[in-house]
Amino acid sequence: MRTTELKRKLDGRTFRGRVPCSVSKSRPELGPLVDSDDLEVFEAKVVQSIFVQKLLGPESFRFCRSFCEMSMQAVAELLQVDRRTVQRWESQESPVPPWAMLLVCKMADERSKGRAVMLTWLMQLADEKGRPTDIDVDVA
Amino acid sequence: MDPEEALRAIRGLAKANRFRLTAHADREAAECGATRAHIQCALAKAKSIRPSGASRASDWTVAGPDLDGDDLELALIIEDGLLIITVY
Repeated sequence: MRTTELKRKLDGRTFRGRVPCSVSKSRPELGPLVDSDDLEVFEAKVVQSIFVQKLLGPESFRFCRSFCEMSMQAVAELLQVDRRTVQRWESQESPVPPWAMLLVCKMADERSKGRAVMLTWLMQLADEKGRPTDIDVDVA
Repeated sequence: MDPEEALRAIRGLAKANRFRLTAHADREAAECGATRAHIQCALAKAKSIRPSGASRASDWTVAGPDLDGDDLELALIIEDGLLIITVY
């Protein structure tokens, strides 16, 4: 199987990985082509590396956020901050707080594994009405 | 294929995740910080289309909003029910 190398530079770190590739039948001169599914697999591996190695930075934050297919507005609502706050984090006007990095990075890591525990938890947290007022606790 | 027909096909193929990138397009997208999701979003919501110039290695140039609503312009060809993005 033919492969090609993909590379992403985020916050001064370089992530490299080889993915399968193909060649156009009608325009072979275009060179190796990467399928969007394989690109997603590569991006998932980058997200997992960011999470496991606890890499903090505005570009990593943006990468994780867009891997989750979330707009700045959507992530701002989920984290209960203003959209401009997220914009300032990503444009390096102010540092990304570790808690925001952790939440978005965790969401992206889970999404890369087909899970959405953190996303569901944050959505429920943002929904005041959805929370119970009477709670029975099991002490047995 | 006329531009309207091509635009419909591009939106449909993008929604079905039927696209590939050349190494050149991938490099340019990465430099701009665009991920697969940004590209798919721009293609699936493409608003304008024009035939690419004769000197370019593409048939169509389309523009559409990415995840954050910023317009992305992409050059592509349609081949066997697949979009091949040649320039980002």
